[in-house]
Amino acid sequence: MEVVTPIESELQALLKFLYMAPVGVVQTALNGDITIINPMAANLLMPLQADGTLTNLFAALDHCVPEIEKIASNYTAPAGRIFSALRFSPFFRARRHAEQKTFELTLLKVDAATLMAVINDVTDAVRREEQLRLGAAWYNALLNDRFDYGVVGLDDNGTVLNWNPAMEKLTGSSGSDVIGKPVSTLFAKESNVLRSLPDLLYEATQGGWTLQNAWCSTASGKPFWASYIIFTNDKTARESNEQQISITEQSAYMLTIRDMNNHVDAASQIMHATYSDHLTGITNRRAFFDAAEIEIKRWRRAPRPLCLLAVDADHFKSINDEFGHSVGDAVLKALAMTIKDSVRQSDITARIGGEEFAVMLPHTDMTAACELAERLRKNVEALEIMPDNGKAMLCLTVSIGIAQMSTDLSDIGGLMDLADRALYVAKNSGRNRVEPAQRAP
Amino acid sequence: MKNLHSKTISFDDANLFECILACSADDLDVLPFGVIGFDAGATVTAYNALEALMAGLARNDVIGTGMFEIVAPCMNNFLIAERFVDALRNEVALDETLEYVLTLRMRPTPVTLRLLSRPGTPNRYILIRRKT
Repeated sequence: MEVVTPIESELQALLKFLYMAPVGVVQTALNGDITIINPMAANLLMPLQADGTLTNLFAALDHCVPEIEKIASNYTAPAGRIFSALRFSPFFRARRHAEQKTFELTLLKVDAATLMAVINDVTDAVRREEQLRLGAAWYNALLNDRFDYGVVGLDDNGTVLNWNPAMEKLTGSSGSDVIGKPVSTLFAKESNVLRSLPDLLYEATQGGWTLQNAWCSTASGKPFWASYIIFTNDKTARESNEQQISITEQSAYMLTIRDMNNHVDAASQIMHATYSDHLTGITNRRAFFDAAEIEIKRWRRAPRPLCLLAVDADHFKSINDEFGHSVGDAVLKALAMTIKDSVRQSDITARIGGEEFAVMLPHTDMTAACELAERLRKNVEALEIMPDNGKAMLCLTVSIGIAQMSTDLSDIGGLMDLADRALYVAKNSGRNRVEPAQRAP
Repeated sequence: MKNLHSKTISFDDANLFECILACSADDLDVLPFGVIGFDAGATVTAYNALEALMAGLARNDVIGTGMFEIVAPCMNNFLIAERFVDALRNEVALDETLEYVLTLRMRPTPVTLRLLSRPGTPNRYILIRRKT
């Protein structure tokens, strides 16, 4: 048998400790080259790699959080915490659509030549926090009366039955103007609440409540960003007491609304960071798939046209190679904004990969989706991007695949695959094209 | 004489699963690549000498423990662990070769992995070839 000296047994214990640590720990040189890495770190990072290698931490995370290399190199102190608990939604290169997770990364400078990173999968924790935070924000607001919250009573069809004074202040409309009208008149036309109202009422009925954000409109047409909850009034109580109670209590639903323009608090900032892509500021991959799942659920319950665009920047790699990553990042930002500006407010635009974007188009059939995609393609083509180094103007185009949800498809993964196949056809047919998918095989 | 069988086995053999299955623990120890065997419940049943040396873990500490929790937590993802689960569920043979990075003694170590299982046989294997 092997003879184990005390020192060796201690090393064994230390090795085991690192093997089994339920967080990822990585030690790197200043340039990110990995010198020491524990299994959990490899477990989390390997699925993000396209080529099955893992030699440099910055390269390994380049597609998810491209800015960390810059942040690390700008950190001039001899040692210390470069950043703490940076949250991001990783792009899984090896399997595109299956996973939606949130990772958390902390980076320390240990000495003049050494960095240490801690990486953790915080998906479950983040979901729990979000629930708590949503609840806490609302309870705080209601209990402390920090803002004038509007309360509206709705009947089964979403018609306004009651309008409180705070709603008059918030919107400039008096009760007599709106009672008897559909609640969707409260919302800005682009919010598309008129169309989604049956879904929202259904979800409130099923789950007791639904929380949403949308643009609302005052009587004079001034838009404001609002957070609102629709919840159900207890029906049994309503029916048994019908004779004695006021109209508010007779309503099937209650809508409570707050103006978010004046309440951008710490909680909503953290929420924004969790839901947004670090580079472009638009919806991130995880939030997109969450939202897409909701749309698919709605579709299953009540099928209606639902389309998905898969948008991919053409020859993006050569832009990166020729002009450098900072120009590449600027191009991605410009592209994200162009996509967002080309679609409607009720569409969900997200960055789901390095240069890959997706747009979910609720209540949109293939013909309308093709028109919208074509408009988007032209807007990108017309973009004028001038790199800082004053070289020639950059030309950018996109290829777009479009898929429509149908009973042949089981979930968002299937819809995404179909759109991807169409995108592939668009790429192979010369790029800068829109390609509608054939129906699922 | 006892190692005669394993001397002829190569990492790329088409019938590698059957070859490994026929090996004794001693046979596995002379193989030029790492072998980790585990059962349907993901408990480690085989761990050869090269793997013990490379990982810095003693075989006796490893046999009988959880494959993806304790021995190879770096493989507990959809690239590896879930492939075995999928193969079991779909009752198909698994024979996948992929490039991966292990953390043997906490050093990033590029390797080629071969994942093997057969429907109806509880033994499954991950074979590990270091890149030189």
